[in-house]
Amino acid sequence: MNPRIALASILLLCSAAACAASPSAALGLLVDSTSAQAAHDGLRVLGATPGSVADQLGLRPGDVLVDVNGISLANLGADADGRALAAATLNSSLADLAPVAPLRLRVLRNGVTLALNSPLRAAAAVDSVALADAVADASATGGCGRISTFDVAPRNQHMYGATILLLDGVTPGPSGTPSFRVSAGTHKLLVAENIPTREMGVGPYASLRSRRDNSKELTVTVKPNTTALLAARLNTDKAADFAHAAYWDPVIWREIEENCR
Amino acid sequence: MNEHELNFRDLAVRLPAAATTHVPPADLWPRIAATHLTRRRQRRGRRLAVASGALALVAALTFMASTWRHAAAPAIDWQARAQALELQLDALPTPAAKEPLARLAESELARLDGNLQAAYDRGAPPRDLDPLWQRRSELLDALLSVRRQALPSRI
Repeated sequence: MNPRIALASILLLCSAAACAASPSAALGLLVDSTSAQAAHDGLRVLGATPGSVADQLGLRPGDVLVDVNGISLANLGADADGRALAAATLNSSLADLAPVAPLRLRVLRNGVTLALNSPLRAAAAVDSVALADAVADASATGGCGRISTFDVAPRNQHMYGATILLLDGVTPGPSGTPSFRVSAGTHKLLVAENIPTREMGVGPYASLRSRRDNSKELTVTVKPNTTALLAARLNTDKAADFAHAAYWDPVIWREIEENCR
Repeated sequence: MNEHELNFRDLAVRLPAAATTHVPPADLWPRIAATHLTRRRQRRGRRLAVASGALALVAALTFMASTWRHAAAPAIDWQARAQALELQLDALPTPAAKEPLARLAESELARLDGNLQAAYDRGAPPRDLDPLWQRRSELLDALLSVRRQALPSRI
């Protein structure tokens, strides 16, 4: 996707849905907006979300964003809250862009000034809406699927990593892999949680003492050519209830179609 | 007959008389036994106290050593780690088609980066930023592993 079109669609989407993220964040751009001092020569790029417009434009951590569409971001000083005014300027510049207006960035990288205004490499944009429609190879062999502990579960829904201790009564393998191929159908799992202690609201020692042997069973029905993603859900209202292990539950938080090779 | 033999005979004659004149008190033996028992208890108590003290000292030293080690251990710079992983990811060839798991990781990264930028915009302290950078590292790690698995084998 052309970054210009992607940017326009993101900005339109944000205005329509009252997107809470700033325009630069919607672009996939992570900048150091903490102070005027940090943004003296321009806005320091802390990262670019993989697959985002910023990523497609070729922005990298360590870059210094000098100007956007001819508007300088250097030496702008601080706003009333002491934050870098350059960040507010970048956001207002992006918000004021017409849907099909070009986006031209000037970036300082290792002492060299680069102009980023065209796609440096082709990549598909992040399209989380399309995730639900992830298409699998329809001609794939039936009869098998996967159970995965791949930890990309949304933390805002209090989902954390989990480990499968037993899969149908045996230790799953090979070790170190996050996904296990299984036959389509019902499987019994014994699951342990990997919820960080800091999320529990109790001290590390209390947590260590109380969380031993708090594994739980889960019965999963795996559909053919489907990967069931497993996570540990923290029950925030019972976060300190270790005695009955009520603080967490193993859950299948997502199923994605994936060719069972 | 030597002098010793004479002395022993003399003693044997005198002893019965002495025994009758110097009868020990009836409670002598119980007192001796009680004193002996008390001393044994005191010795056992002292040994126990010394052992407990040594144990407490070892435990205290172990705790202090672990605390010092923890304090001395350099904290992981999650921001630097995430940025290094991002550059590694960038060095990989762009996949022709994205794996569903990669899409999931990117989607979660996009959400997280929104939170991270909002945290910077409100001037959040490092203790609030660190867990977000740590999570970013984990997600980039996961994305890297998926992308690497999707690479065509060179063999």
